[in-house]
Amino acid sequence: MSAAEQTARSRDQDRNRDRRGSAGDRGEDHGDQAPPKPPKLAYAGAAIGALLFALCVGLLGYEGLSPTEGKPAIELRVLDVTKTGSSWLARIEARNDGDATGAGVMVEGTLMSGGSELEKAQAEFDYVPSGSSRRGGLFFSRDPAGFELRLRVLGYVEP
Amino acid sequence: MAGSRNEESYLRALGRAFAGAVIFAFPLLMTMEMWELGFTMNRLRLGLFVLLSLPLLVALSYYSGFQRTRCRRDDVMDALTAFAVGFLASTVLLLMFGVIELSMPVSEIVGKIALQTVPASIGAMLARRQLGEEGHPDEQRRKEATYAGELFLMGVGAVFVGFNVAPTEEMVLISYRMSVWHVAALALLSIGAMHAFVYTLGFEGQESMGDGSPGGTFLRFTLVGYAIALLVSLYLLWTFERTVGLSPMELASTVVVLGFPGALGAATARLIV
Repeated sequence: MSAAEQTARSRDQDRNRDRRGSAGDRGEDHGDQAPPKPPKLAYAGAAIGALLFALCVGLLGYEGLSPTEGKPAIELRVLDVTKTGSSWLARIEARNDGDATGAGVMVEGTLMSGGSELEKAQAEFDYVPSGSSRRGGLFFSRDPAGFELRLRVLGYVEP
Repeated sequence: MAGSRNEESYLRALGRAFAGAVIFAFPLLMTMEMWELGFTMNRLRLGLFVLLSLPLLVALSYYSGFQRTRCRRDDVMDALTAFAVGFLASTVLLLMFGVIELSMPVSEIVGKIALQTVPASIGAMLARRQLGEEGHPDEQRRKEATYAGELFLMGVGAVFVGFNVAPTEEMVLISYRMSVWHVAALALLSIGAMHAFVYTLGFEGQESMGDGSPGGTFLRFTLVGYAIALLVSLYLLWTFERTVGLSPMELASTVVVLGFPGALGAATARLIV
């Protein structure tokens, strides 16, 4: 901004202040002096804001009012099994198709051979939000491919 | 000609608003509890919180918006623009931090962004004040602020400062560590610190109220201000569902704990808002 512009601007502001002071109003002045009319861009900005605001409040309100005194319904599945270092990693996915978020979701995988348990591994998901899936992994010392891998959710707490 | 300069100054104000949004909101954008609250929070409480942010922004625009405003309609327009700025800044940063991903359900994404939009849009609105522009024209309005306006600004100061810690688990954890005596001492300390700030910073409204006596200031600003800070704390804790299952005594001490930063924010509202 040039110096001339700056002085012009501050003069403008002074005039404004004087007007405000003398009229004793609270900024409800619609005069043609500065501050200038908002540019077209300002209307676009405000319109986007109004849209986003309506979206947030509308969606949250809709969700809040729809009856979802539900429970989490968490299903587990194995994504893949790989050898990592000296152990085997079974990557798992927990999917929550219920209406409520589960926090501290404990899961357990058991390697079964015939009717007997060979080894167990556990993992805990901090959160499995409703409608979401979260990933994790279980480590075993034997190759799960050679046995039956049973997955189950042990429990959760309400967030 | 005039129009293009007009647009240029609007774009500059917009840039400042983005900077303000990021500066105020990044501690919260980088707070784990805020991400979790985005999907665990009660939807109606979150919706109410977002809803209330708009009148707050409109009033803030009047006292210290990112642009000069002419009338109420301009204040509403600026409030909506600040909301858009807060929303977009939060979205970009949350995407960058990997906190939101396109594979997540809409509810989770919107919840996380909406929650962050509130502090970010307040930051956008305060950008002008915070990032300093010479001769702020709204200065006059703040000087002329009525007693009610003064209390409103104190409330905004309490929200501005208290919000940074309100969602954290520490609020409840600290209160668990404190005995009744600790709580009483903290309340007294809050009031004392507040009064020191209020008295030394000198609230503009004081003189015009014709009561500059220390006792009057204490009653009119410090005590009422502390009450506002406590109410703001209670509302924030309720919104973030930190009040669930607490006994009245635990609730009171948590409110006093959050009331401490809130009181400091209310007392220094003159500096930050």
